[in-house]
Amino acid sequence: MASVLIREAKEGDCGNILRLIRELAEYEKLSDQVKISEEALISAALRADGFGENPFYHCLVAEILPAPGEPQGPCVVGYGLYYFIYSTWKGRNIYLEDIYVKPEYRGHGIGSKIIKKVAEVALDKGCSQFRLSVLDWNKRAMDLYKALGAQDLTEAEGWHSFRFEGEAMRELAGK
Amino acid sequence: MLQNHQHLELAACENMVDAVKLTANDLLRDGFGENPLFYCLIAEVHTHQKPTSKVTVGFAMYYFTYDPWIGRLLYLEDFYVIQAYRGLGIGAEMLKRLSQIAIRSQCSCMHFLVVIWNQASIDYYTRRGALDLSSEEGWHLFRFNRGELMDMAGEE
Repeated sequence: MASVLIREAKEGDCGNILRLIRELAEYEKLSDQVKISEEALISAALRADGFGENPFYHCLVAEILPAPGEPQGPCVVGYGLYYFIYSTWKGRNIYLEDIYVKPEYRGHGIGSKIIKKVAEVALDKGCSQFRLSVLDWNKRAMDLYKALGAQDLTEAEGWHSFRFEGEAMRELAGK
Repeated sequence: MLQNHQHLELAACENMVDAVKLTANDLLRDGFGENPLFYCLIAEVHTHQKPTSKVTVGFAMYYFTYDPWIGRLLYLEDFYVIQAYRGLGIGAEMLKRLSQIAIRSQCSCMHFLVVIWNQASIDYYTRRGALDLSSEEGWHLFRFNRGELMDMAGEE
């Protein structure tokens, strides 16, 4: 196969990234949470939120570079979306919100390359750990992360993700 | 201003005092500089002994995270009221303020982690309408520590 490059996303990658985000949502079987008609809004927000003066997130893309002589251009086949978090124990850390590789490009170590790039960024920025979440049925992903040395904190220490949203949050706010 | 001793009291509760590596100076730089990495609410009471002085009895530490579908979310990293001041509605008042901050900051959700074996905490949040996404949708939280990061970065 031609070579793979893991690089920082540019504003011009937004269209590709949005396409892959939708594929990831379908893969996680949570895509019914978002309607197609909202995609234009999401695209605009994604662009502003990630490529403005104070980005809310950072993104890496996995790009297949054609071999010399091949007619097609480079092709974005995966991405990793992350942001910085803070722990009062350890200081700044990274949270990898999304990681996805198109199905036809799996099994070639691209996912591992994305994670390793995130690890480099984390160390570069003085972070001592990074976290991510996986769905319990996604055995392939869990096996990959464990093979790279990650610990399942939900299993080991009982940590659960909770959320206040919609009506519950408005009630809390006293509205 | 965040009191370092209170943070250690929380750590003692979770039996992990040795794991706290940050100093008051770290918190000062990271939370109160030009680009804060976190924000804090504190709950203060006036003491009887000296009416003009105040004591910090609770705090909430939060920052903003991102979901590509939903946009910004408010993430509650730490939330604590000291033992002697519980049951007075201080926690509820802080949650109210946090929700107002979330709504004002265009966040549609507030999320946080709870240890599932801490039944008192689980009841406290579910009673107020929080959803357990780990139970409902199957999310597991994974972590890579520094050693693993160095191994991975060293391979490239």
